[in-house]
Amino acid sequence: MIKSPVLNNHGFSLIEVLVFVSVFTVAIVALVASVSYSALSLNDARHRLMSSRYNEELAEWLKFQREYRLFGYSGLLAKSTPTGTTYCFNNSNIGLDANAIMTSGECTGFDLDDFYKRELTLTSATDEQINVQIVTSYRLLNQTKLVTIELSLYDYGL
Amino acid sequence: MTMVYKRPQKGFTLVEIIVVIAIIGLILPAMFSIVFTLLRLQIQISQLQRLKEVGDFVTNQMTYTIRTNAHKVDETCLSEAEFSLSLAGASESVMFRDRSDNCFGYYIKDNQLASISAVLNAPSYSQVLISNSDTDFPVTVNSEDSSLEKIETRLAKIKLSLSTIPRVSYLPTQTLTYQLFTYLRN
Repeated sequence: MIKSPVLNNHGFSLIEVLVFVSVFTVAIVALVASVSYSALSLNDARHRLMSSRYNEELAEWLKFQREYRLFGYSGLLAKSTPTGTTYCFNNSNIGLDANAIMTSGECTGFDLDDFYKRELTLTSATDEQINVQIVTSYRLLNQTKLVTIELSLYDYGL
Repeated sequence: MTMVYKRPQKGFTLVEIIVVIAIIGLILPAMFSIVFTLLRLQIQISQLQRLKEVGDFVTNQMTYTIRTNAHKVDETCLSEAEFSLSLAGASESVMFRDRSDNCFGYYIKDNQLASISAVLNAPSYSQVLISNSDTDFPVTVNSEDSSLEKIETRLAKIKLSLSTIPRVSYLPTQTLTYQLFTYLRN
């Protein structure tokens, strides 16, 4: 009897290919997701840091205004209301403008450094105290992110 | 006739190996470039964070010292003999006089920020606050974009533009600007 040689097929079965493709896809999707999440988080951290710098800059300017223009009369007390008045501070040179004119109204766009928006709300608590809220916001992936600081300014009685 | 049984070949063909190597050759550089970009971004943010720490600390220290000690912003201090050596070549400077009639102040020289003080008729003492030769974290003060200025007798303006000095060329320089007024209440 003549024995015919058995042809050894070394290819992969359909199941093997399917398992490999699904494991590979899951791995790639997980990798891409984690990388994009990391990049987004790092970007967000950077903008948060810059926003907090802008907040501190405006807070420092307000403390200076309290002493320079005095608290009441034409000073900060006159700019605040019991329900709160909002001012837009998208001017990046505010720290160097001692006589900056404060015009009430919310910011219309993200003009601070072409990326951020900085708003100040002054609420008069008493004749000697103003509550201050500074919010710097920015947009990242169609989401608006806010960085807020709050402080109270008291009349030194100068 | 007897047939010779041929053992099946179990290796990969040259074409298969070339294809696999080519695919690995495409995937590996892509993965490394992604990791490198993330690492670069991470280092930039940590540099910016440290720059902010340095800037916050120095400006807080300056404003506290000025507000608690200065009586007036006094440019005549600049002409006092004990300061002439330290202040020679300074691009910016601002000097204050305290209630005991002693002078102190701050100056920018060689892209560094330093404080200077002296008790009357004694040698001046100078201390570098922001150094571009710091071994741990060098920071440069951009002279052309920084200013220390007297506005009024009781008002001084401080603008500091600080930049990191990257240790490696592929990292960009990080810059933060501090601008503030100090008003003297004393």
